[in-house]
Amino acid sequence: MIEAHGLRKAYGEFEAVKGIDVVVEKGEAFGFLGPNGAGKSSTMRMIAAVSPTSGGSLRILGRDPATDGSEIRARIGVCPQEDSLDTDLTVYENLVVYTRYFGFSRAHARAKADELLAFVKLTEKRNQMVDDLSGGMKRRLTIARSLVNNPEMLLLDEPTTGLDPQARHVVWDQLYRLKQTGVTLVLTTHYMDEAEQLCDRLVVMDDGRIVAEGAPHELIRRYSTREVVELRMGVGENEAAAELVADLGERIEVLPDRVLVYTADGEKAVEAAGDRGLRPQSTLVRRSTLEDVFLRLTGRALDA
Amino acid sequence: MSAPTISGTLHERPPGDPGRWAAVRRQVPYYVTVLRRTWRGSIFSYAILPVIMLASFGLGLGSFVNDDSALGGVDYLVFIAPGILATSALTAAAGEGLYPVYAMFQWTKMAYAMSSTPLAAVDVVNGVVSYVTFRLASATVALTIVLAFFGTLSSIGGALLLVLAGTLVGAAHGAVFVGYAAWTGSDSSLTLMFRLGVIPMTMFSGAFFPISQLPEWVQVIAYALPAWHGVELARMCSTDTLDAWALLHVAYLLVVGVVGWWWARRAFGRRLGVQ
Repeated sequence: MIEAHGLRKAYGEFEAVKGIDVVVEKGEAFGFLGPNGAGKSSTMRMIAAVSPTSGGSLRILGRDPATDGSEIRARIGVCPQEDSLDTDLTVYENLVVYTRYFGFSRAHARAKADELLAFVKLTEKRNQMVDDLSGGMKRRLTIARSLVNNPEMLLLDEPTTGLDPQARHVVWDQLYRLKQTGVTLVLTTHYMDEAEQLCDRLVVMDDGRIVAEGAPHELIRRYSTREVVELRMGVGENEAAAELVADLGERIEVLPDRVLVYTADGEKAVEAAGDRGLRPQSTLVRRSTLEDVFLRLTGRALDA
Repeated sequence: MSAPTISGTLHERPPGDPGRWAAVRRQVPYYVTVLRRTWRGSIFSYAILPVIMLASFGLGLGSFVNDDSALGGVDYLVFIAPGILATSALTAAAGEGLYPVYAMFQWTKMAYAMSSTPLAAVDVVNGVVSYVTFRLASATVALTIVLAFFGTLSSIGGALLLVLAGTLVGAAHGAVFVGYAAWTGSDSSLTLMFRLGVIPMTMFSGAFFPISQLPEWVQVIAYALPAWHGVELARMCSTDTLDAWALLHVAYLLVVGVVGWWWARRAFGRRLGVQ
């Protein structure tokens, strides 16, 4: 569906994407994980055929976005980071007029709008103005809008950013159902739980480059330990604590508010730290996540 | 609920690049939907201010104008009526072209959503400019009816030409405003355009007094303004005094419109990333 080699994007002097290789297969759920400014959105805009590439090669659905942009856009769906709905129109009208942009007839557009409203569970809001919807509903409407042309591939830029936990789960559920119908999903996110939930495969991006690629569990296995101990110390005590426990894990990370000990057996490490007289304010043993992978690869927290 | 997105005929693939004409046609349902919501309010607002202006300036101020030699021997009311029509079209063009287009990029971000479809930037521009032209045409019809009501039109033929002239004035300026709104990145520059563009142009367009009354160097500036050409053209139509100069005015306004359209195309293309 996507084949990019040495793909670059520059805005004047600034290089947002510094040569990346990405291949996405049909039916996959593929993610770009990285902090803000990593080059995810720039990459997505190139894939959406709305932003010319600055270098490298890019094929979308086997076509060249530089010459076949319109044909490519006819076959993909785009759910942008900002909802970009028309606030002068009702929920239903937003879908109908958007369907018409793709060249479908009025009858088709109307039937499609009702079908999609049912899919995103907004049928009851059909005749309301967009401004009266909650953030989660607007997001679902934007997802519905990205489906009006039965896209072969759906691009989602930060699909659940700004939503409350419940609304996020509703969106995830809908994306999961779409995936089951065979739609290829490509999404960007800076939430590692979202990436773990939705993605079969992902790349970790940092500073315009891909720093790792694989399935979420693979990446965790490759770049982190099975468990992590989080030690919350008092202000200014982190460095001293880190020295004390340095040999208890395969790796130690010192964050501004806590010390992380990477180890196969968390409980054992906690016990050992206690034996050495360490008295943290709180202790947490958890499984490794993509957050830890990112920390390992870039030396920074994802949301920092 | 089961996943209903895949179902029979609704799973059709859309056609590809529609071509430029079809691309504009695809936007018609959108603009018709918007029009259905807004036409009553806007027609009223387009017609009411000119009525007030004609009554106050034309009848009120006009009663003090004793020397009509500089006006070509016509009543002050007859003199300013086409000027008010042309400058109202100019103001309406600013209202239609500036804020709605700015909103498409900065507030609702709708332009970006439109460019995620097979439509290209040039198609979105063509849609907007066509819509602005349609809005200006209907505003001009309303204005022409107001002028007729005040008894300031000389003939039916002239009135029909006046509608065309007013639409041309509005559309030409409208295209420039569309380009400006897409190009600028701050809403305060829209206010600036009203204060330093629309209002001074209205004042020095020859709508309210003949340009010949101004100092020579100001006259030169006024002649260069498309607004003056618009007012002159409208006046020729309403007073049945069309001559060969009308062609110059039409040509000038057409050039302004094309330059505005080209600017809009560049600005839309730059922002949307698609040509």
